[in-house]
Amino acid sequence: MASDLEQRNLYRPPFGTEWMAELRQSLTVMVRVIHAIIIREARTRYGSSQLGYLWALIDPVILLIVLIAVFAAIGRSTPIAVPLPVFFLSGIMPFYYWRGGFSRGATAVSANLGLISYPQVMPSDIIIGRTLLEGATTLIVFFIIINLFYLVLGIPLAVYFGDPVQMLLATAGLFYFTLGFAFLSAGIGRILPVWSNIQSYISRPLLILSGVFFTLEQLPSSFRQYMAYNPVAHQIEWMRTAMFESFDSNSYSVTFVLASATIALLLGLIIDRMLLLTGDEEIVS
Amino acid sequence: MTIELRNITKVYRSRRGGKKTVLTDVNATFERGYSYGLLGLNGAGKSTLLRLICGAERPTFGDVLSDVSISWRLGFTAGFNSTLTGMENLRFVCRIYGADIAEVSDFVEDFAEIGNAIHEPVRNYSSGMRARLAFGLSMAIRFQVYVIDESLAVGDVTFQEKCQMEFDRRREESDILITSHSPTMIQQYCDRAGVIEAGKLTMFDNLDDATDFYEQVISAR
Repeated sequence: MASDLEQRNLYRPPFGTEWMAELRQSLTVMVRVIHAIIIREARTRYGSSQLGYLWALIDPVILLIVLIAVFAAIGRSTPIAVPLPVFFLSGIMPFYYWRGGFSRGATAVSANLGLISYPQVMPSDIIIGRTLLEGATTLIVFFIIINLFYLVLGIPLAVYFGDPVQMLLATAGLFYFTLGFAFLSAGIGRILPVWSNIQSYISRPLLILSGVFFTLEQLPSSFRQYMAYNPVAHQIEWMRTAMFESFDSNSYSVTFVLASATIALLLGLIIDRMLLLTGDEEIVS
Repeated sequence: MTIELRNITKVYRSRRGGKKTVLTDVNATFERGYSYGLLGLNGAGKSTLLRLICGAERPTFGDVLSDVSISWRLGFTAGFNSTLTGMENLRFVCRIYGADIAEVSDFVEDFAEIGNAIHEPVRNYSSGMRARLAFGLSMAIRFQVYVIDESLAVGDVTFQEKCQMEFDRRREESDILITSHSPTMIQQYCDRAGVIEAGKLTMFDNLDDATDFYEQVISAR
């Protein structure tokens, strides 16, 4: 039996025929699993009630109304040349997506321990599935709200699509940014169980600090230099510059957004790999 | 080759900083066409080895290689989401295994005998209903190796007979891997057996040798 063991070589040269076949096989399984997880998560995201999904729409709408009311009460106007609701929406949607990924990532593994025991389901599949679902939800909510704005306030839809190509890039950037932080959050959550309680203390103040109701551009430079450490603010500024023809900020850095997303993603992947290699994973029954 | 275990060591770490080595340097080959039994006393590492083989967790050191489809442990229900209905859980399992949903649901609806409850959330199920759903599902998706931890018993007596019949039919094309602390059960189902004692696995080519060795282990206690 010993000689039999030696004959079988585990090593596959990269990009060789066998290696490519194995890669294709595992990618097929991964797509299958992520697809199944998205459907499963869509049903469980807001509990079992059908109405629960409406919350994804109601939550940002309430924040919008509060912000508009506050700005109206203190007599502030929009800092850029678009209507106030449009300005808020352009900050709220990217922020909600990022925060959704961050908080949903924290519980991605612990809420799905039963799933991990299926050999083909990997923690990263759950995180990717959740981030994709969160993105699709955010997009749908965005399109519903801009249509509501059109019907109720008469704001034309063209306002939002200043530079479609730049918008696609900024949206792709936002997805990568959110995915990176979802991986980081999931990684921390797996080695530090209290993380799911702590993470909201990080993301909640960022709602105020990330430029949902101001732009980096309008801040005095003494103030801006501190704000500039927050990658979420850069991401929102990037999105606004892409969306609005009339707004062109010089205060954000795409490199900073992508670099922080990459670092977060790598940290998350390293934690995942460490847990996988040592076998120190979560165990069900 | 069917399943090959190479230098498997499994260490569990508890939160209080203690380390416990459950399996030490386990090597074994489980060949296609034979059913294997794993004998061992409670706490010897049987269940851990089984979880490693069916991929529910990964070894600390070493590799598990296999070129066959391996079932989850028969009667294992923790993979179900309790807020989803039985049917939704069934669809999920079909999707991740790439099985045909219509075919599998026909089989399970007929086999599990839970009627309309299949469209109810799993949290409303009794443990017997869950186990029947899981058992039906693992029979519907055709695995090449079925993995059983200790017991095949699911549900009441009539359902057990049905399981037994279905299982015997499945054994014509599939192999089984079963753990037990009693040699009688192993003798009923298996062609070969191994004995796990204090994290070490010793494989035997025939059942009698394995049973003899196991009895020595017991009397040495």
